[in-house]
Amino acid sequence: MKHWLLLFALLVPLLAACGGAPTAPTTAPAASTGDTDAPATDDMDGVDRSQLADQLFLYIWSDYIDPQILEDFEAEYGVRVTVDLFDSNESMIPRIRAGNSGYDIVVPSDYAVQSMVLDGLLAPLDKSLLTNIGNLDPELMNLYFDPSNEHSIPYFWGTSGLAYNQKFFDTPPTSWSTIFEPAELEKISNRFTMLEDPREVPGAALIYKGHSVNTTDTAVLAEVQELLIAQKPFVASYDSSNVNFKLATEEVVLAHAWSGMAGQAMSGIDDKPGNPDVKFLIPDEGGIIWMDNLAVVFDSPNKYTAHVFMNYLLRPEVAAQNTDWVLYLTPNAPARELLSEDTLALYEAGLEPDETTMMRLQWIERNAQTDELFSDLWTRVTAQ
Amino acid sequence: MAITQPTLTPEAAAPRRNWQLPVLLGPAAFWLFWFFLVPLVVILIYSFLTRSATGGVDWIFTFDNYARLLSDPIYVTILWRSVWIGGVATLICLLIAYPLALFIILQPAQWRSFYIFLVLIPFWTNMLVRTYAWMTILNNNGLINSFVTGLGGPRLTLINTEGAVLLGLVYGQLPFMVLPLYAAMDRFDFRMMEAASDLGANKWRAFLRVMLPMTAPGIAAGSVLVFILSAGNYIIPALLGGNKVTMIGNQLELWFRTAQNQPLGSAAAVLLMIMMVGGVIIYFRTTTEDDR
Repeated sequence: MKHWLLLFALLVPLLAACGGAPTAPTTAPAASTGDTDAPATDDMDGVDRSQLADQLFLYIWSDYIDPQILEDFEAEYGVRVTVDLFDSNESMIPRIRAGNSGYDIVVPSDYAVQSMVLDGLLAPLDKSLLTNIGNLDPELMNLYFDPSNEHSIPYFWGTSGLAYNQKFFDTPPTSWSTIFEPAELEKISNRFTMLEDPREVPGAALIYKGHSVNTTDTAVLAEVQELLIAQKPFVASYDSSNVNFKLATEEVVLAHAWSGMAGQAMSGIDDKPGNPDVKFLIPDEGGIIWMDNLAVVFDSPNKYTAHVFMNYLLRPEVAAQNTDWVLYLTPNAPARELLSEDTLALYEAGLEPDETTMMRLQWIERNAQTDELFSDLWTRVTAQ
Repeated sequence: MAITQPTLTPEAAAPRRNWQLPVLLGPAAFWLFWFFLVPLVVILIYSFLTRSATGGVDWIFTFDNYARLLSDPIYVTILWRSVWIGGVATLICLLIAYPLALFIILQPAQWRSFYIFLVLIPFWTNMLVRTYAWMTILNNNGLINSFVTGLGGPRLTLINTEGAVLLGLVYGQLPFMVLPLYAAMDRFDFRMMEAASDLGANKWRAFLRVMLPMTAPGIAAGSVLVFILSAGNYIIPALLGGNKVTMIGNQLELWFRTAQNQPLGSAAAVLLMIMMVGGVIIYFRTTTEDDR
């Protein structure tokens, strides 16, 4: 009997995989040759147009860049920016780690920058090309995950705290006790959500009890686990993705939420209306701060163009326009002065922490030990 | 349902069979090898490796993942909840689907396909969309609660409960129970019921002693389908259970995505697969080929 066809069927992909590996991403900028049509002489902004690629591939969170900015950039430099989306650092990292992703710029969160640098997944930045880097707030530079910003620059930042609907509260909540003390939980039973996140939820409990969110003290973690198990019967759901519209439609009256989610609940999402009664605050005990960052992928074939694009995003007027669209907090100091009134109103509704609140914010740091301890704790709470 | 094979003389058969194996088996073999066997082997290997500090895998062989899963009662709790919810969903599906299939089979032939068509209509809409529709019905401010509170009643907690998860599972998997039952009843010769009654059995006894045993293969096939799809479900406990009713699918998602512990997740997947395959083997051992 001739098994050749069967054998052939099994072998073809193997051959394809061997031969095709370098060209695997079909959308990759294989034709990343210089843009010959553009005048190479226009050197007003220090950009060497002969070095620019035709296309740039950006791997970013959803609704995280104003599409108009991409059009403006293409009009100015003739570089087409293609956007691809991810919904978590954990789904983004494996695609970059696999190599040949075809992406030039990624937007990892704080702890993800640290782990990607450790794995060599981010290219070092050429600061001489980032002439607008001085616009970034020095307070948000040189942070623990990239001590000299060698691999990343801040893009947007935010906090996690409590979003609430003022119609349902005589006095605004001021403490995490609102969601942890039984007497107060009775009042909002099944009308509030917690984030679905193994670090954020124990983090809130740790802050309430006056501990570091990065503690590895097993006695403290056991105490927090009991607190969360006691809280669980009152929680409507653990939810990170629908908090914005649950708040806007008053399905819940209180939510442990990221500041941007609360902002979308206030101002509306896509074509859904916002709810002006929704407010956001960082409780007195403190909250969590996080930041997403721009970085160049280690095997990007268009590193020069990627730097030009990052530098473009650092222009104050571009950063301000982007912030008015995205509604998170901009790390760009001059852009902060150019924001629209609508955006500033949201900032004042609690999205932007003041100086004293800033002192009470903690970063979530991650390593092998915390990953293990907190995912185990989280399993014991959710599986209870 | 034996299909009579064309009888060929040995001389005529030989040249034809030469192309049969590669041509008929090729596409399936290609698919199963690359998209089933290879990933399965990867999972199997990963289940014996160690998680790296940054969430990848280190090539250090260990049995720790299995030891941990088998020794920690919390994982038994999750598994038991999945089996329990899957089992109850299967039973409810059976209690709804059996009378329904019987009703359809008793209709005139030209109407049967219309009823089967009605059973299949929900498949035209994506499961995720239908689950979101259930959310708008069961929400605190949903259709049911608007109606109840509108009449002055108390607000009911419907969503984010085990009951909501069961409802979603039964709703979603019901067609998978109806179709095998319908097929089994289609093969059942209803004159046997007349024969049973001629021999003195009342209707109930005839059903229990004649029809039920003869449609049992349909019950088994439907139950295996519904149970596997329910016990391993991920999206319904997440959306209708508010992530508070953790089933094994949700735990796998935590390990593979959020916790980035691929070795532990792989070990759990292998154990789960061994259990499921065990169930299917029991099904094949207890039925004959004609039954299926």
